[in-house]
Amino acid sequence: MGFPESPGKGLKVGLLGVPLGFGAGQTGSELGVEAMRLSKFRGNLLTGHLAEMGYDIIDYGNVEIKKPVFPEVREENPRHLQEMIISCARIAESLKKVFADGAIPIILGGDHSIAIGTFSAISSHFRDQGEDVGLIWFDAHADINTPETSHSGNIHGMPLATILGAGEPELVNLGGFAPKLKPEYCAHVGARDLDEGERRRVHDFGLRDNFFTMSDIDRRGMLACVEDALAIASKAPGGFAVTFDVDMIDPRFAPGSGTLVRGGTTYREAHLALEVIAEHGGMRSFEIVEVNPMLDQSNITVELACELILSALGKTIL
Amino acid sequence: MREGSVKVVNQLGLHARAAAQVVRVASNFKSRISLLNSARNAEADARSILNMLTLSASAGTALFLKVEGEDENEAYEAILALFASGLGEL
Repeated sequence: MGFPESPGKGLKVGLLGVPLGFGAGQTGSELGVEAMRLSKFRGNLLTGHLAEMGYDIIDYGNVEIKKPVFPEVREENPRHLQEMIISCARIAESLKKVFADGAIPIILGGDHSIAIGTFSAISSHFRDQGEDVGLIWFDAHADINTPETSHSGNIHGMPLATILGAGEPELVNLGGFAPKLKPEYCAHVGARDLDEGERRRVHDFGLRDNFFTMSDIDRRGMLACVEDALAIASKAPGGFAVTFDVDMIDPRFAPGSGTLVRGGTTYREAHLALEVIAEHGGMRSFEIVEVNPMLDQSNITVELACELILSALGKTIL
Repeated sequence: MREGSVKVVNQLGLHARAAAQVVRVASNFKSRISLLNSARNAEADARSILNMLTLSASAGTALFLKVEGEDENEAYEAILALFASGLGEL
């Protein structure tokens, strides 16, 4: 194998910020976008590193998010639904431009509710070409709640259910079709904190074997789990998208996130997972979410998030 | 222009609450106040919390302080005193 001088040679990436944080219970993830853009790590900004890897970078700026009015109307479940619908439409519009330019979208979040908007847009793009697209979802949580099973009403606990076709009809049917994701093309890695209703739903969707929980990772190792996840998602004719919640990683390595759960993956396991995905070559878009600089310690989560983007795009140690 | 060095002495480093203290003090002055973490070649406007969080300043980090403007002397002394006090966390 020759020296992989520039994995990005001849490829375009489109950076898109989605500063939406109202889907979470705690504010701050909307600031993750700017923190990732501004942070210097290993002597360079994210865009600098991407350029070094040979990528042609187009910065699409940030999606204009419709902000909820405060004080909010209580007892609303899901919370901030109208704002979410409007914001999802704007996300779709922006992603359309990225795809039209032939760039691989790199989406900076935001809380995980943005996946409703982003994956709906991705799915719709591939649907126009007559293809289904898969998804690998990295997360400590299943995010497979619906308003009926959610205790909090926070939409960032519902995106996976929504794109699989369950939940609030106005979100499920965004873009005029549902589901956005077929269960057989869905893989989930890193789960360790599920609500009772969520556990039931995973089984109802027939997804038990598509979930690679922390227990599975402990038993089989990250490499085997990610390879299996890849096998599932890459069966989709259009390729697959990746959405990465930094809370999959153990709070020791990624403290800057709003819903931390102990017992996550190590720093290296997270990199390994994305390195293996990059080697596969079928990734059609990458999204990183739930980075909350206000809860971070010495910016380590923000910088880790940026490093993970590089790994997903083919950066290797040697 | 006044220039000098300040040290992050509080245990948790320059995290959100500590950075907010710097913003609060810096906002009382008209001068341009910036902090530089030379180890990482990162510079931040002392009026932006987010900017300062990206300095990655953990406990023990020495930051370069630069103050320029009509009230630079007062501002310089105030920021110096704030860091010496552990950003209100000692």
